[in-house]
Amino acid sequence: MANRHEAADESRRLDRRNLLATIGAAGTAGFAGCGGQGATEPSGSADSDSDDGGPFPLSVRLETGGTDERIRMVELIAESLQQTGYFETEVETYEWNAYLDRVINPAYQDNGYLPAIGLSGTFNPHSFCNPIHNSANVGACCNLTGIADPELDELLDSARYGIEVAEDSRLRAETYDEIWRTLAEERYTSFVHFGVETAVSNADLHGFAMWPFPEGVFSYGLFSPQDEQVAWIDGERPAGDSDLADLTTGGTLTAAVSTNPDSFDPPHSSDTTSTIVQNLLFEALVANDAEGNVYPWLAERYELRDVRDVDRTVYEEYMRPAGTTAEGAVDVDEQVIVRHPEDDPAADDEVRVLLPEDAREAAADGTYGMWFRYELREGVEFHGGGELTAEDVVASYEYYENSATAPQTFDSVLAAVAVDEYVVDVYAQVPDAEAERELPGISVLSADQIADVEKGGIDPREGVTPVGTGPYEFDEFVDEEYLEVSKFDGYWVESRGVTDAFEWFDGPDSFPDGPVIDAVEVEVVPDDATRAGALRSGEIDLTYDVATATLEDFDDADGFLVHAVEAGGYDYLQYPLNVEPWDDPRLREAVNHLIPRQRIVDNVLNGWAEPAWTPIPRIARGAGTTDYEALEDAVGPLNEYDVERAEALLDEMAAEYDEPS
Amino acid sequence: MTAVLEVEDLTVRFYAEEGVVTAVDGLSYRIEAGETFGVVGESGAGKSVAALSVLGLIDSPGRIEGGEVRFEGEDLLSMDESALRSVRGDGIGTVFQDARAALNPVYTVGEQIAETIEHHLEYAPSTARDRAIRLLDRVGIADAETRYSDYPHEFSGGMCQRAAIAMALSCDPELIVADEPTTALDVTVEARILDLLAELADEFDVAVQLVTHDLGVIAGTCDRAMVMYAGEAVETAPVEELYYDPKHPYTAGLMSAIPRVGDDDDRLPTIPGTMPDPIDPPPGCRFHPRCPFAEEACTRTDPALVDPETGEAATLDDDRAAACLEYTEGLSGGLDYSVEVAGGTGEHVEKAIDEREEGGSDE
Amino acid sequence: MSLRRFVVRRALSVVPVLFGVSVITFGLFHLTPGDPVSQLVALNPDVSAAEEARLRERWGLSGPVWRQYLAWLSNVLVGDFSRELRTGRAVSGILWRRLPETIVLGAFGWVFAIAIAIPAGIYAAVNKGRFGDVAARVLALSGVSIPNFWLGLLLILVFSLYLGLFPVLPPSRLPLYHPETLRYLLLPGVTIGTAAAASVTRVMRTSMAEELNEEYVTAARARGLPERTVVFKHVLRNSLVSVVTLAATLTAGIVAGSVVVESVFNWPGLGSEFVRAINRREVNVVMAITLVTAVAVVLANFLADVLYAVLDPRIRYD
Repeated sequence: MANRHEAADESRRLDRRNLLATIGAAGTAGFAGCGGQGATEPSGSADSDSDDGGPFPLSVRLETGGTDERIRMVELIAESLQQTGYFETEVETYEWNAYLDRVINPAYQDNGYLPAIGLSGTFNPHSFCNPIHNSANVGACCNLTGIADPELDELLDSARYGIEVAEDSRLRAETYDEIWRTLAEERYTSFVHFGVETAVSNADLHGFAMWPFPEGVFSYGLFSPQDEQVAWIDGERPAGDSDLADLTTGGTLTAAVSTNPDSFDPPHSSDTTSTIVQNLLFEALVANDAEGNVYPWLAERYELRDVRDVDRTVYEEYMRPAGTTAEGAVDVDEQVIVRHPEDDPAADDEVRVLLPEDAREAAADGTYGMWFRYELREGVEFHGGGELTAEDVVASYEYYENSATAPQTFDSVLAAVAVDEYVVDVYAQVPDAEAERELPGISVLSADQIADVEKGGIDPREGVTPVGTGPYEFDEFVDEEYLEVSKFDGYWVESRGVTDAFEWFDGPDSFPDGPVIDAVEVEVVPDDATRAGALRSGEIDLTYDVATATLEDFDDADGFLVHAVEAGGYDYLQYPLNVEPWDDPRLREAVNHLIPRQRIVDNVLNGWAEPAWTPIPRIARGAGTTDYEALEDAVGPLNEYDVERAEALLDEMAAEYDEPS
Repeated sequence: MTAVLEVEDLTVRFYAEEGVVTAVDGLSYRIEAGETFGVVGESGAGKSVAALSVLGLIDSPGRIEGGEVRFEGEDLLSMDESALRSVRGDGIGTVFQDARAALNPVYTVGEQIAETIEHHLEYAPSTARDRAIRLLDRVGIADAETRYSDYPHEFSGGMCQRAAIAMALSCDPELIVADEPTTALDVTVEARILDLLAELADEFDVAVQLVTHDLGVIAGTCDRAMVMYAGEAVETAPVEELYYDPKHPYTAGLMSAIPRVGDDDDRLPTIPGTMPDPIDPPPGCRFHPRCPFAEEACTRTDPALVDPETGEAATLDDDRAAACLEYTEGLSGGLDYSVEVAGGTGEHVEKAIDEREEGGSDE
Repeated sequence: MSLRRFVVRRALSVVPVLFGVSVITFGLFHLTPGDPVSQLVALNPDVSAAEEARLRERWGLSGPVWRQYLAWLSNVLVGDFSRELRTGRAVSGILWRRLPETIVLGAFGWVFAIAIAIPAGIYAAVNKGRFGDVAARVLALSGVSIPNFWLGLLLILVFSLYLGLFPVLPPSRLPLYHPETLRYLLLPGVTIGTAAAASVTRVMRTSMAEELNEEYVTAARARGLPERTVVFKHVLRNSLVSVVTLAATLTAGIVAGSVVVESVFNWPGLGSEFVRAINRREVNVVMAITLVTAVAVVLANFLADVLYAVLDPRIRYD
């Protein structure tokens, strides 16, 4: 099932959602207040001391926050640096909310501190390089230290945008390989490790598998024909080697989440738990499998009808002037589809923007980057009645305007137009290799429901029952306590039969036509210990977000299964290259060699992570490289923990330092 | 005349950290039905302990170690707790020194009286209430019915004591043990309370053991009295004889120490010295260190309580007894004191002494 | 004076205290840097200055402090505690739903504490110096020393996981007054009540031991009243005054304890809501719960005053 909220990172604005999603999923606040851990205070600024060893020992201040594990990771790195004797390290930690603010803090461009952050990437290899390295993201998320490498910028853009890569995936992969090489040379950042999504279930739940993103933890496992994935409940037999032949229907899955699902309104929510439950109720035009391949879902078929070699200036004639605010925002009520690339709201009083109506006009005129046509199925029922038509899809796109997730949607979508009762054309602003996955990345809502509510008003607490096309429909929600959903009788896949519904399906005949579990109860249990206890006592069947130490216990215990999959989350360290001596790539390379990646994974995360020997995790390997093994061989050694090599580089620098500048 | 209370050879010890205190040592006395019997002595003489032990109200670290306390023939000390409890309040009533402290501050005075009545006499609450009101009235509390519902802190000291007396009388006891009942009251109130007590003792025909340090109180109300010193009885006598013909030097000393109206002396005569250390009393007669007539023999022998006429050991039935070697082996110096009665009834006194001398045996 | 007059006068004196409480609560939150709107803006940097000003107006955060206070107070008095920032939902709704849960939990804890502590204290006082007394005091010391989250987790471990006597999660589908729900409250009630029980035991013991030395006790015994009556009718009532004092201050402790206990037991009360609101910087919720808690403590003290007067007639003269 589509994970439309593996949100794009290539937004040029604050990609808060990503940040929040990672941080939210990884657990709430670490320590309160500032703790000066590690070594002695740096002397004044973090600029180099004029000491005997040249710039060494160099005062280094690392800053981080968010989760306990990230903080410990940074402390280990600081200790590793400290022990060489070349550095005097200090670690500053922040509570979650403060950390969030600091992450977009432009101070990092010249204060010389090393920020350590966690982000979440997607199937799109762009999400592992662009937000951090593209100069367009300076002062936003997440180019904190002000990396401005025009050649790199060009490479990044060309890896995703442009007719060539939109049409040729091999070219795209090659471009990324070049990017990885460049990044390895420059070493602007150091990726430490990739996260692993885990969940624990008891032996009643059979056939469960993990989706690499937390948002799909329940929905994917329940029914995903694209991977022949289905889960079922069988109290008689313990889960272990479960075979599809043993599938039993019925039962209720009791799952637990760690925070309250605050919203049932897909575009107007930004926290992971809300998305988790929304994915049970809503669907999208397409779906992904665990490797990132795209399949038609609510659309019976789709095709890329046209690509044009344009950039965003092509919409100039359709743009209107708009005022700007003192804070550098565009002062207009409607959704800004495109802002003229040459205008800067921070600097100018007036900018040119493309608004939705004009965007539609442009598309109709043939001014677009790409044109996808989606042919919807007939007879897809909404919960509570009504059939899915093109009108619902177009209304859904409109509903996404001016919402919390608008930035992620409208950085690629130009317009969505209903051609026919069951045909929708969706246009991309520019040729974009990710458009196939990005454009249809919205939840399809009911036009009737949208008409009835105000923006953000799909809320059962206000008496509005969410209506979607998904396999489960909303039953009951008691805020902060539990949510109940039950199987939707009129679920379209079931009505049709899975083999008839999906041309691409080539699984066995015995594969069920819909999820077989009758109902899902989601309990809200914020306390980690209590949640683990409830799993242990059998009061819940499934939960995620279990502390790594407890994961070990469950792994060893009978009657429980730990599910893990390498995911898109990654923790990294960014170097203040605008501040001496960090402008010297040898220093950056040396520090990179001093990051004890394996030790961090083993000690801090109890083995539940993957050291980042390469710049991309498994999920991005499809589109992100031509040959993963070659990539490993090329860049792997540069990330190894090598004190000698580091010291050699540092000595070299120290020796040169004394020479007059 | 039958004895309501017979205390024989009562011994009470306190086991303190510093040592063992023998508060009461071999004490014997009797109280007749209807008579008012005084127990007098300085503080620390053991009077209150003796009074409380009659009812078995001695708590650890104190222990009643010996003797018998016969109330209407039955030994209270060998009774079990529940039998003893049925005597307390019913057969024997108690009046304490600090009347207000002896009342529970959170219940009304009337309730507390009624409680005792309900418990011992098994009256219904309303009947008990009526009886309590009548008692309050009888002890001189005006407006008894309203006062029934007042709390102890709303009563004056004197009224509290009256209420306490009412409580002691509530179940028609045979004996009331009053432990310094007027010590905490001022003199005018004291007089009235004593009068009341005397009246009621007469009316209800109840015996009273009146413990006090005040000789004036004894004189006014008691029929017979016992003088205690350092845990022992040193003299027993009918009150008039005690005053006009004290047989024990201590008694004489006490008498002379009383301030008298019209006295010309600048200084009050006192008995030199203080009460002995209760843990380590002096050998022989306990009074000898302070006795102006003490001789060598007094340091060796602790005199027993004897009939001063005959020198034979006093029994419970004897009205007159004293504990001085003078009356047994005799002292070489003798007891050289005399009682002068200033003005007033000199005849009366001589007559009383003559009567006694005539009635008593020769030495 | 009569009990009734006393109660009325005390009740009247509570009003200025409540007023003071409201001023302090409001003042505390307005002295801290930042306000709800700046928090909102931090989350959404595209909020324009004009919008920010408009938001401030809407949330009543503009104008001089005293006017803000009066506006806030007048809303509070009609039950309007403003809204949650993130979701826009009425805070009063949250209070309504969660207050009974916390009250019931607190009541359990309280009842448990008193039910254990008073008999234990009496037992210890009556057996002063003997083994029973020592045992009671050791238990009391342990009760006060054990951190309540540890105790809670331990109880869950033993009674829910090992012995299977209680569920780990509260039965959320059932109403509060359902016997199953009430049964679930035993463990959290014990957790919350233990520290309270310990304190009350000690005070009860001391108080009673003192009273047992009083003259009226000897006098009561001299009247031949059975020991049971002496202890439970006469002495107990006098000893309870100190206990009532302590019990009133316990209210605050129980409310504070509920924060931890509700998290551990997943009990949907005000305590866990308080933590959540703090983490999310939901100022209005935090203020509302603070105010409610403060009011509860004031009321508890008022009740204690009334109880004193009931227990001890001498106090009515105040």
